[in-house]
Amino acid sequence: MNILRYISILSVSSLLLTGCVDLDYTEVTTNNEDWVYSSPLYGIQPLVTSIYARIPNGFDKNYEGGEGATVAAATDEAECAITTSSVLRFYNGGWSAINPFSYTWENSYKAIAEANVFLEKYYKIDLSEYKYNSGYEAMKNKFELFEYEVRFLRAYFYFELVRAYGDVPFTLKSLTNAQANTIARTESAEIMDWISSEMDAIAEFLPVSYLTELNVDIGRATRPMCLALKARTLLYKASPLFNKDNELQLWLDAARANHELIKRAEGWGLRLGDYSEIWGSSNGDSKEVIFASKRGSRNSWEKFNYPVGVENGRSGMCPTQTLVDSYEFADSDESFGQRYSSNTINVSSERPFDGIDPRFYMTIVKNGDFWPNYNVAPIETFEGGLNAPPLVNATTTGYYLKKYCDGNVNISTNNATTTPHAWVIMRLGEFYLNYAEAAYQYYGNADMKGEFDITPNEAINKLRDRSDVNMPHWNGSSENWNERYRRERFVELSFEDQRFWDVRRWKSGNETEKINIATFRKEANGDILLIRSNKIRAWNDKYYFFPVPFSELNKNPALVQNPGWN
Amino acid sequence: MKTRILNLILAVFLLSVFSSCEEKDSKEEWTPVIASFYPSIIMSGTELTIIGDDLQDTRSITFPGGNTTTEFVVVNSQTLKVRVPENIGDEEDRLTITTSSGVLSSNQTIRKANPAFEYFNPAEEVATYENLSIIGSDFLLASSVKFAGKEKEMTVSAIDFLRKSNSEIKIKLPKETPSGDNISLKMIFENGEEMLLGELKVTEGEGNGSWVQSELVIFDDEPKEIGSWGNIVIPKERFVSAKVGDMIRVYISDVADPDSYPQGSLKAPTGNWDGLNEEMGCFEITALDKSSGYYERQIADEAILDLLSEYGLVVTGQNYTVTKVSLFTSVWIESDNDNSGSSTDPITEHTVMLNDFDPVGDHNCDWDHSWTDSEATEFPSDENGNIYLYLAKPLMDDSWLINCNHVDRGSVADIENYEIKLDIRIDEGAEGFSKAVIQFVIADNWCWVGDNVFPETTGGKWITIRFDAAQWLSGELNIGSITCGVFGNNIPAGISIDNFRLDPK
Repeated sequence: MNILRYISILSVSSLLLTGCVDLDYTEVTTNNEDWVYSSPLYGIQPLVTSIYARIPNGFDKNYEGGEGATVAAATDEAECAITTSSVLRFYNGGWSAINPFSYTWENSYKAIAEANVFLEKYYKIDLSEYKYNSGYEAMKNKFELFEYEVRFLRAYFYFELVRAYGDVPFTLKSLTNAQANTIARTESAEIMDWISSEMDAIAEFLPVSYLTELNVDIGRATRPMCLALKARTLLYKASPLFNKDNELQLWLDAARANHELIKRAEGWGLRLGDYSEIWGSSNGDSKEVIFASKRGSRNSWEKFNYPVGVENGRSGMCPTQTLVDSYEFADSDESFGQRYSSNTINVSSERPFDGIDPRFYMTIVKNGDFWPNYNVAPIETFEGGLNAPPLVNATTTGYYLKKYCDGNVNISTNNATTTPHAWVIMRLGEFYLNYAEAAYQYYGNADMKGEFDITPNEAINKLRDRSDVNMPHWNGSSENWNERYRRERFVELSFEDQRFWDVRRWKSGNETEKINIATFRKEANGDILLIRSNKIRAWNDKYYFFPVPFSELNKNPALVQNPGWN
Repeated sequence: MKTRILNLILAVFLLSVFSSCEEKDSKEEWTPVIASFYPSIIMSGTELTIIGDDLQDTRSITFPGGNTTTEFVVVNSQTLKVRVPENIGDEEDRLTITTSSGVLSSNQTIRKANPAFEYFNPAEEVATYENLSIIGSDFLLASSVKFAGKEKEMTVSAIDFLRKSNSEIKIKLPKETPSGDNISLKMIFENGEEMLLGELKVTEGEGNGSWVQSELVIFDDEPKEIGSWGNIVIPKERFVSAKVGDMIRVYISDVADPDSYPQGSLKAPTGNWDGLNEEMGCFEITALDKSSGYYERQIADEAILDLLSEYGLVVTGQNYTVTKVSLFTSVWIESDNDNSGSSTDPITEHTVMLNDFDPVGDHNCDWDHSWTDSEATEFPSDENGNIYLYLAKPLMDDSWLINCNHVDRGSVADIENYEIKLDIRIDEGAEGFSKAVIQFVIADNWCWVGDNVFPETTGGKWITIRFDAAQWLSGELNIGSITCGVFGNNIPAGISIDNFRLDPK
């Protein structure tokens, strides 16, 4: 018996040790290569879809937030009501190189490794056996595009890395694990230039849309996505975090790239629609959306973010008063924070929300709103109210999140429903703002067209002209134009995972240290008071870049840690 | 015995440990290698990017045919960029690189592009706003297509092609395309080489579009301080597209305090400079105007429009600055069918229509779906009166989606040169269409396709789906009034169908 036991233990140990852990996992390395490249649906296609599947999206919480929170709750947009959420580590001292948010690093490099392997082997694709099959032409058309799609995806993941880490190891070739652990970081500017030129090189090969292809697929790389990635990348390159000497030429490059996209957009069927079309069950097909990750039918976002007090609601990300303070009014360019700056506001008598930018109502749930659509009782965020403290996990800011939630989704246990959700990664509105920012930084005049056919103010006015927004136009180049622009961007792109990165590229992280929040109180006479207060979230300049995970530094002696994280 | 067994097991164990990891994982050294390159077809003068390892010591690069160049750029140890030299060979071959440590050969082969034009589709005549396909081979390095008439030329760049593949370039002809009976087309490649494609008749199409509310800027020079009745004169030519109901908006800044009586004034530059009407001659600039950054007045009647059209506009008043003046009017915007509206292939004179649900003689949609579940199908018509089929209930069991058209369609020569087409539109939010199992029936020939005939979504638009008839049919096909249709199962509700047809490839 002892021998048998010995044999068993040894055999199991042997098996374990012979299974070398392959950190460079791809479908290719785990399947017979010849089989893979001659099997269209089960061999080749999964190589590409595997890379697509790595595109991060806010719904699946793979933006490092965890527990339903996106990075909106790691900046001054929102406060996460769920106190166990890992998003709190971004500012509570729990973030370090040893305890990093390593998803972007690991996920991006896995995607890049898969892309590099594919691009080195795709010449082996052999569809000849399928020549007489039905749908051969469609298959051939589809597979011919894979090279360009994968090149787009590789560039996209490098952008994700550079945005988070700055300089990063850069390779366009598949490496052994040992080789990968010897390469040093390449300057972010060099990688950004490569992204830009790579998009120039491949854009013309990709279709504008797949609706006219033999395979009407969704979510695959397109020509507008190439121009958009280039435009966004060049905006980052021109921004203070990366453009330390404020080289004006970089702003001009960014303005040109963003202008090219918005100029071609209409001819490509892209246009600004209603603001409310940016989310909802058909947002993935919205005319404004350039790049979306369709996640199928679900209600998890609503479960995370519907208010406590609505059956199964968890409050999730609660918009801050800082965000509310950024909305302007239809009758002036004053923001809420400027008009109502006192510590206590009588909401019942002063009616401070009257005339506020309609985007407020589409983004934020406030006291008295009926939300979600099936809720027959108005939301009560005043202390002791149906959806307010002292209920556990009730809003900590006085507001709840509406944007991206589909108010038609029912999350009650007995009548739960789901609807399709798509996470918007790039939409046209962002690029009007990008253009306005870059052109203003270059010309210093928001009413100047320069070499373009639209001024920065006119670009912003395009967004404000949406039929369900309809806010007054901007004109002139006042001293606070830049400040007002950042406010407008904050409002327009709220909860779209932009603000977290914007404050970093602007190097204005310290401005997000103080978070305004609101508490609502019901007086004996029935009046509702909004009482301002604030929370301090420690800011450290090292937060401008993520720390390289300590485990990676351990493996690769050529890697140098980002400033402040040692 | 026990010891022997144990020793044997131990030996196997140690062997397996030391041989377990592939060399790939432990290999740390960097040796020169070519991993990939793109593009995979080249022409003399085009740029080639080579990716590999340890390429910094490259001395020369050799192309098919043995032509070698020493002129290249070492971007870094992993990337070379090289301009392809003259006189490369026609044979497909591996790329070789000579480095200080030896000669490297690529796994992938490379070849010289030999672009060849085959035909246009449509073959002889195309109108502006319509799509033109240029069919051939080795088009990947095309950078533009030039259209030349007797007096006018126009070039469409690759970024503006609807689609570029190695065998097809598809262009939507812009309105600026020269028109005439003999418009010459040339394809221009990245290295500047040109290939004459032939001539086409190009006519002026009407295009499609719609009236869209738009802001036309009619003054945007340096801001003008109006002071005490200073003025800006805007010429009448700026009001060519003005209509009754349009708004004139004057953007303002530096508006004086109310006690200084800031006033606006919109006049016509006639002899007397009268106001466009009595009210517009002089009016207060209000606090709301000031906060909005503009004041605006409507072209409320023909009299105002006549003044603007005949004389133009004077913007005047006192105690403010004019920064811009705009006309808010509706303008005709051309739509791009391929991207924003329907994306269907045109019905041409060469189309063999098998079934479009419109009445033909005694036959109509009732005939065309007479074998189908009558409760599942509806026959709405669009704004042009065109009838199509709408599946209101799913067809889960084997069913005819389209059953027949008993109208004599004659015969088709060389059916292998045709595509079977169907226009479809899937309701937004409807799901499961890619799992529908379909076969086409063409003159009683059953053409099995299977699933993935329909996409999961068409984005709410009409699109055309196409299948190569050569997969199932060849030679002359007598269609006559023999059954043609679409048969299948597992088809969800929410799909619209029209124009089941054969079109030449």
